[in-house]
Amino acid sequence: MAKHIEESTQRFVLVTEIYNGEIPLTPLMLARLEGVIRNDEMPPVSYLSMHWDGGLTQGEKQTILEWISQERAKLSAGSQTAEKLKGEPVQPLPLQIELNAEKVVLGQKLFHDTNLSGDNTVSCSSCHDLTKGGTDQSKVSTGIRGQQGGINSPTVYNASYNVAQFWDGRAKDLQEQAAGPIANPIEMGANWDEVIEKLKAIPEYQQAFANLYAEKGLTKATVTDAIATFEESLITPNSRFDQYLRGNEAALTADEKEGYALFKENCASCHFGEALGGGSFEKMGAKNNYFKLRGGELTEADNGYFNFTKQEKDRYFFKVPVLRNVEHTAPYFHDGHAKTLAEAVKIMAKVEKDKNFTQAEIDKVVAFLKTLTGEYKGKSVAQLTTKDVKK
Amino acid sequence: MNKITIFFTTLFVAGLALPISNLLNFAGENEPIAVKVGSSEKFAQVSQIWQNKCVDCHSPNMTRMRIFRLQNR
Repeated sequence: MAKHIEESTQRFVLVTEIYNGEIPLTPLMLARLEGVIRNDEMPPVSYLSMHWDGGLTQGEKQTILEWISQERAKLSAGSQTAEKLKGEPVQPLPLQIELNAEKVVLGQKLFHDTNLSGDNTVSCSSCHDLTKGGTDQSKVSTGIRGQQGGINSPTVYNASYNVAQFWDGRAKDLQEQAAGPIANPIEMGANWDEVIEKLKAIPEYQQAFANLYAEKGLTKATVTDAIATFEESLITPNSRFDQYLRGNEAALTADEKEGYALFKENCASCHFGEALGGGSFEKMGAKNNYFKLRGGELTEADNGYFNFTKQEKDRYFFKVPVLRNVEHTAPYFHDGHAKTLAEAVKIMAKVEKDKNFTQAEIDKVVAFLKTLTGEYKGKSVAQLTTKDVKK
Repeated sequence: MNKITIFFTTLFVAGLALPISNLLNFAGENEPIAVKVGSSEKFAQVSQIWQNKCVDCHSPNMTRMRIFRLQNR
């Protein structure tokens, strides 16, 4: 019971200012609350065994769910979401965002530039290929001199929606993340001083940095700032699901809608918000041991968030991946273990919810997930060519 | 020790493990927290549910039952 209370207060703390309404619940807390209510997970059996009248009635559950919907509607007021869907756990990506266009262009050039690696063979786009869903579609990434990394490349699309960057959250934002792989000996294996000298020797960069960063010039900070600004531009709106959320009922088939209903019931407490993820760190195997099911030796990467915080409570926790364009980002999970979406859905249902999804249920959830493929530069992520992403 | 003795001993020990006061709801209630003016009627209802059903495990300094206070030290 003591362990349960400790976990409870880590996941969902109610303080006086929340009880009295001064502090609103965050989207993450709303998602977690909805998840436990929909799945009858609260109060737990151990609590009910000692508080016979402690359970929630159907009426109380309904009241909470209706209130959650109202709160979300308040948060999405002014959005393009259809009125009746404003209370949903997922909201559409904005069709446009405001960024410094010149910085985006500079960042795009740097993102694709192999000068940022130690031997001029690898660029950011080698592992985050915009024609491959923003990933390399490999189990683990390959760095300079053919070195294999220890973890799967997460998508760079919609990465600005992540609460932190990398699977283990060790970078607080996109700029900090951009600096990491460049100096990592098994990724891009470069030395920042040498990278800066190489870039300074290119007149086009000299001019661009002089225009955009007149005071700071061409430095590690300005290079990563430009890359981060470009990455902020990598949002993929207007998926079929977004069209549905904006009011086009016909954008989804009946099976896809049923898949969304299953998704809401089982997945949306972690995969919520515009990006359907990226909002929290969750345990890989909340209900069943994922690593036992996977088999094989545990790796350092398997420790997840623990590798950054060094706190035992964070072992096996990972940043929840965004699910936008997920059809195009296989293989799945931090270890690239699941080769297909169907396999990923089946495993997640088992280890996170302790459920054995039927094949029909898996098919419906997968059908829904495939509606999340959006557009970049006005073209479907599924159809992008190298020319499209560099123009 | 025969089976019946073992059974009743086990039952007795299990009974001791249960905090009877919790079962019988003798542990008292917190002072109700009023919601701020302007909150919706629905939120007032939700706050009341939290205060009655969630407080023991999700509000470390507001637990009503002695057993939870002991475990939260």
